[in-house]
Amino acid sequence: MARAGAIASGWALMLISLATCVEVIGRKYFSFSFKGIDEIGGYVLAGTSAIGFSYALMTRAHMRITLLFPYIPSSARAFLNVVALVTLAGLAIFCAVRGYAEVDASLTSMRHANTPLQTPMWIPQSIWWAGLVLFAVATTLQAIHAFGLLWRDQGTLNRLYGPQTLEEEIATEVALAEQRETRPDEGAVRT
Amino acid sequence: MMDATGAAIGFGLVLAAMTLGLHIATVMFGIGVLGAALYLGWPGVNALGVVYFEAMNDSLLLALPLFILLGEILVRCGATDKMYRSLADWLNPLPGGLLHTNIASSALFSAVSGSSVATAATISTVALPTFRKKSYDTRVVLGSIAAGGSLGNLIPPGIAFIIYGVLTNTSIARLYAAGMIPGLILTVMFMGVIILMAWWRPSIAPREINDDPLLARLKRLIDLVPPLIVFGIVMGTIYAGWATPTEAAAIAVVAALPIAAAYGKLTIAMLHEAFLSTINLTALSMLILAGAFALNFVLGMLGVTSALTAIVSSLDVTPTQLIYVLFVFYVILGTFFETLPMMVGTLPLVHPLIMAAGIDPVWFGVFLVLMCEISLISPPVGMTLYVIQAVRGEGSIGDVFKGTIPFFVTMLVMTILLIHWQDMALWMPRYFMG
Repeated sequence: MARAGAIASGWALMLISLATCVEVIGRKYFSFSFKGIDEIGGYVLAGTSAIGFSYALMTRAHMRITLLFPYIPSSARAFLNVVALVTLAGLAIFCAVRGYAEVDASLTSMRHANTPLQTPMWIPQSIWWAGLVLFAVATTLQAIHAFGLLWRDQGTLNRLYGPQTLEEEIATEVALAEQRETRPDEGAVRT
Repeated sequence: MMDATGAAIGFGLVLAAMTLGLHIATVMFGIGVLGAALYLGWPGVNALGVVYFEAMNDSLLLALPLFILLGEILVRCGATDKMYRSLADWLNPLPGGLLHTNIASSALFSAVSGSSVATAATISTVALPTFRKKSYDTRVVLGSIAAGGSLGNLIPPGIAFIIYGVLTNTSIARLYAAGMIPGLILTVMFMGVIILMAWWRPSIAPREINDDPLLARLKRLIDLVPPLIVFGIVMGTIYAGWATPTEAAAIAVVAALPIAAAYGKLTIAMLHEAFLSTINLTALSMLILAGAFALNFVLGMLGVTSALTAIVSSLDVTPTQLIYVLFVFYVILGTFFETLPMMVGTLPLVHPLIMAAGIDPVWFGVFLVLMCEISLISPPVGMTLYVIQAVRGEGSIGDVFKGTIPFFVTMLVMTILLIHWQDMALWMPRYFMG
């Protein structure tokens, strides 16, 4: 679900790029403008980020500094992993709750954006809020699962919820770079 | 009101919690909530919700995912190896031979990709197989790739400049213009270092003989065109005043599609992969940035900014002294922090500090990005170094560390130059934008 959301977000970025192109060319040569494409761009960013939070959670991409991790026992690592997840879930829940207050306020007073588009604020805000709720649910589930594992199986805990180790992170970068250069023969420089 | 002691304790808490491995975003946001709860009470905490949507709904910041997407599409279409070969044609006659191509192709690649780590990974994949067959000094080869990667963020369009610009309300167009000349100077300095090393110890690099006919070399120049087109579109539309940086990024994304098609790599599967990495990187940056905005907001409400201003004016330090203190601070911090946390974690306090000292925020942006680049190649936790070592797959990481030293020193020299000759960064934005 998070993955599908991420792909949909990517298409939204493509669409907003195309629209922006038309806008810039139109503005330059035909003195014509969509009026408000940048406003929609802002909503796209808010929506894509909120949806992307969960996807980045799945890929364990949310950034942590792991300076200490190689030097402490694995039980301490497990404990810190749980603390990190629980606090992250706390952040996600806080955002979802405050996000709801925003959407609710926009709905009850039918707030409109103070722009030419007069966008009813609840429309972009609900997409944004849906992303935050998904993130809150996902982090909470992970936090509960990790908390349970703390007593049963710390190895699994560290593997599932530990930060990407340097080795994994490097492996990802390298795999990507190698995949980019699909024809190794041409990589050889003839001199 | 919060006093400076409170701010210092908060800053210490931020660094401590980050070091314990909490998520950077949680730390930024948590400290913001803590500060708001302690000093402003519940209404202050609630106000953070409003800030959150405002921070994420920002058309300026849309440039961030768009530039990431641009880089993702372009690296996936396999233009890098051809670009590398074409540059090698022309740079090989210099003393140091193929080493120069590492630097130059990184510089060119970074003009389309905003990420240093991606630059280093891509260039080392292309370059290392070639070097295996030749008698170059391994350390210098590895060092030159790492050094090249560090140009990634300095030469526009870099992602670090967008983040700095949005966090500090500095014009991104000005920052890009400001990064241009220092980026080029650093490129030339790296090449100069290679020439010096090759001259001092000729054994590190064999003389390359270029016997390809001129016509073949001229034909291969076409492989330099795609990155130059993209770079031209981005910079041209911004400085002709046609487009904002966000709009320029959007146009470049659209222009990247026919380029990918020309390389025969434009498929839905490729686009979806590009989307997934883009969203991943965007989301992790945005979560951190939203936390930073919340923290900035609270710091502003608490009057930390004015407290810091008062301290700086009472301390009686010159701007140059202050910059040198920050220089040392960032080099040390950079040995164990990565770019994003380094920037986002320190800016809420450092930015008011430099404003109070009367330091130009555009210049400071260039300085800070240079500090981030130094952090990427400074052992023991330089991400770029480990990526290169992994691509190499043999020998020890120590070789990479040692090979980087001349370039690391060059970057320190570059920083000192930048500090004492600030027009290096400020001339371009002044010339283009008054």
